[in-house]
Amino acid sequence: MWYESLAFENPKTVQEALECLATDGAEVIAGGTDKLVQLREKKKSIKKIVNIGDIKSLKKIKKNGNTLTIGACITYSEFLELASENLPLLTDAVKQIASPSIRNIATFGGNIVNASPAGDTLPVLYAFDAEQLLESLHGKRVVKINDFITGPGETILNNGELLTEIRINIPSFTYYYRKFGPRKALALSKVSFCGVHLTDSDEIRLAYGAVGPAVIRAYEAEELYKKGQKDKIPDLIEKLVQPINDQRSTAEYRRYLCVEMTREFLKKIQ
Amino acid sequence: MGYVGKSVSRVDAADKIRGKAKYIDDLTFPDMLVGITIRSTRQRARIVDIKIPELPENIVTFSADEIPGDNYVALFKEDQPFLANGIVQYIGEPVLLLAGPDKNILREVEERIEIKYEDIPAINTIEEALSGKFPPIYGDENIYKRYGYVKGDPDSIFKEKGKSKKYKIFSGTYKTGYQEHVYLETQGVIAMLYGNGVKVLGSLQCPFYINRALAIGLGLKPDDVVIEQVCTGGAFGGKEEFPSLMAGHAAFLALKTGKPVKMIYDRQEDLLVTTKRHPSKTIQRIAFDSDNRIAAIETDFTLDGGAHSTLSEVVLARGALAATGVYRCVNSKLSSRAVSTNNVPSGAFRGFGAPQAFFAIEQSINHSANKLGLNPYNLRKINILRKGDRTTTGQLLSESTGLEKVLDAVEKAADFRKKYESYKNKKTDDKPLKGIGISSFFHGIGFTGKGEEIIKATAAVEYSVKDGAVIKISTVEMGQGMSTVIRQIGADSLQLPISEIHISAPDTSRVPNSGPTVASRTTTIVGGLVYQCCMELREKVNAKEFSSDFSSSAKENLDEEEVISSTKSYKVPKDVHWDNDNFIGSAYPAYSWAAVVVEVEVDPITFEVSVEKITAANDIGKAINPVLVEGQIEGGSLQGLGYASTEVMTITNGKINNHSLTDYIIPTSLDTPEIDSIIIEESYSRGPFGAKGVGEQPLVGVPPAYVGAVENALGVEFFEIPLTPEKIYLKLKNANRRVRREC
Repeated sequence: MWYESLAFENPKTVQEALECLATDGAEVIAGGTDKLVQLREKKKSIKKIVNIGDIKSLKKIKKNGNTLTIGACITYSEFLELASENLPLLTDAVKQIASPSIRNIATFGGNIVNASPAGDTLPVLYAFDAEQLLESLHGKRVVKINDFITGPGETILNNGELLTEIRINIPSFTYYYRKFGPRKALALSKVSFCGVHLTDSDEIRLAYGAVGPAVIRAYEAEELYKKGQKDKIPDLIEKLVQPINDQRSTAEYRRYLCVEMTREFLKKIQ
Repeated sequence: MGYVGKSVSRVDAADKIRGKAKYIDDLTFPDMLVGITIRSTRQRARIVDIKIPELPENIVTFSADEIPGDNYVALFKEDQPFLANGIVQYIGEPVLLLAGPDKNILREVEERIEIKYEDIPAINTIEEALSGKFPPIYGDENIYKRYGYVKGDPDSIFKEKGKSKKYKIFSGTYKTGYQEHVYLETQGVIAMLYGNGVKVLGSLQCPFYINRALAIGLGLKPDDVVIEQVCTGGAFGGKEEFPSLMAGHAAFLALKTGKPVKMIYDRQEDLLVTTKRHPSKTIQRIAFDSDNRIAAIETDFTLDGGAHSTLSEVVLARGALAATGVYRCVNSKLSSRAVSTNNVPSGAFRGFGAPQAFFAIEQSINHSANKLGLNPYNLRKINILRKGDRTTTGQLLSESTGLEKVLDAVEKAADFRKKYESYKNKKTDDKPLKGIGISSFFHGIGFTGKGEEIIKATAAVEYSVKDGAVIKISTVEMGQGMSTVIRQIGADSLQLPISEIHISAPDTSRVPNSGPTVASRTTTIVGGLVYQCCMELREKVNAKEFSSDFSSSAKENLDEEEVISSTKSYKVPKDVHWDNDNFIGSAYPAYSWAAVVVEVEVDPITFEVSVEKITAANDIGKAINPVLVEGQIEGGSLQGLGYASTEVMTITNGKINNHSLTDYIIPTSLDTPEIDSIIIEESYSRGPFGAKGVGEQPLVGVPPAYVGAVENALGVEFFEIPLTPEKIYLKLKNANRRVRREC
């Protein structure tokens, strides 16, 4: 294969990995399920592949009070095995990702850094304002998902910086989640929707995948709910989402689904 | 003994499961080079100039003007060049070839080759092809082939409308899209110098098609072109005519470099440039008399053949012959054509024109039943062909006509009538809406019309006491189970253990031409010849009667190493006549018959369709190997379901939009419903042990049963596949049906 001639580093700690990344032409790989496909297109500029999948500290998952911390290199299968009880909404989303073989190697960190508008874990992370821990040789910073992803495939991650941890603060809530793909497995989303009802404060969170350059959090609609104007929400959603026509679906149908799923969710929490 | 009718394990299974089987890309030869194809980036253009940069010594180019023989891929017509000759007709048309030691370097060289084009207005659609507004691509009329007929007096019946109201007349326009084969192994060949010519190894269905095409393209005697099929990972018709083009490319490069040259397409190249199922458009009118009998059918059937003729004329014939479906119809009118467009050439695909035509006629019947207030099963029961009837072309169905049996079998197994009525009359609520649909169809066994007469398939069987029997045929194993089924036929014909029956490698220098591995013809036609050869061998050792033992008679009559052999060629039965110009007579030697029921659940809000169950009954004369037959039924049903629902392939200005398996959606195992396979055996007297074919048929009728089920669930009519949730949404919205509910 084309990548066999490239230099390959297999660091065992985050510090080692950051040192490996400090050189030009270094590309991080974890599961590689998206990355290897993408790198084929820009193989000329790659000099070195740095695998972070063997760094043990990135493969931890823990729950402290209401905070769930997921190491960036936790695979979907590992999550389902170790933590599926902690956040059933996320479990629902993860179970619908791709296929068992892909879930065995693809990672949470990879899904976030890949920043696809159709990323399957993203609407859930948006709904909970998940925090990303970024580390580099110069220090650490914590960034909310909505600030981390800036566009399709675009993030604020700097060269030499690594996403190491995802933190989710889990309140009391009920939820409604749907993913629409062209088939039942190995499918990229046409639309995904995640509605969360925070039961203590009676607030809602609405996140829409694959209908804009990044996942859309419907803050204005959430405000309408707070003001008791939930009847106005579906019309607002219709205007808010920005779907396109592509090989997978049509803009019109996607918009329709967003509105209908919002209605379903609102009906459910009545 | 007695292997026929038993589910003998596939002889090729163990090696394939263990990964021991060697596919074309697993093979390597000393000094072997890699070849790639430089393709047109324009839809329709004149090539003005080709600038090739200075190349390293170990990289070789090959252009159209270097072709040693004639620059066309021989099949029916002579319009498809091996390499574009001054003009390109579709995006992806081969222009130039490169060979060298490293594929990555060849791709870098490709980027530095400059081809200048001068665009010509391109033809995108069937409508544009027939508009007369564009310079034709093929002939004067831009049509590869037409077929038409008038049987009885359909015009007077359709004219009756509005006068006596004696007839009820319904009409519709039906469309089907592209379908890609998605054989798991992409196209691949290796060519090398051999004897006075070349040898080509490859993943392919038709060794002698390639032999002929290469002899012409290379200017060699057919005997100096040796084609050998190697382990083939699926084909579905996609490796029927296409490998001739690719084998030519590899052979040109091998002849020029003197070294073996391997060409393998990656999935993207394969999806973008190889042949697909013909898109179609059918305008159909159907008239019923007061007893709900079909009085007349009028059909206008058009296929998009793409930029070159390939097999379009025979695909068209098979489709045209299915225009009136499985129904008695004395008054019928057909006009049909395969047109030329600047799209990737369409070609052979499991079903071969029949899925397109059956989608139209079966949807016509489904829609008519609804309008006549009849259950679709009952309307079919009134009109289907039975033994003793004649087909639209006048062919007498004198035997092996299990149509009513298959129709009744699926109705009973799926409880069709009751479910259909209850789903139709249900009250809408939020639960998934259930629907059930049905279709009935045939598949003509062997080549259409005079095809078998023209190809005169030949098979040979050799036998010696020491080595057992060796069957010599050019028919290939491509995953369908041929090598097991033919051995079963051989073993029972000679009453030998199956371990003593061998099949010679399909190598054109070593086997006779038993024809291509296509047209659901292998078991019946080739198996039939093998059976006849075996019968002659029995005579040769004085064991003519089945009661006498071949093995002991052979030992008595033959020396240990003495080889006896028998060669048989296909003879058209005396009572089989076909007039291809007027569509009169026996269109096929025999027909397999099938009916299928599809059950679905439709989400009333999102219009996602989940297929719950498929019940498929097939009359195939005799199941030589029942598990392999079930495999064909299950695989074909699923491929038909993909064709009907998820397999969207669109083309914009000649460019295919779905160029990866992420975007071209075939069903996965999770999308696979329960499939109930019912085998009906109405023996065919001219088939080996009564057998007819089953390879293509299970796919053919699934789309109308699927769409019929969605219609049953939602109460609206659909006219086009693939039927996606997006299309259902639009239809309901445009019909002012509720697509939005109160909050």
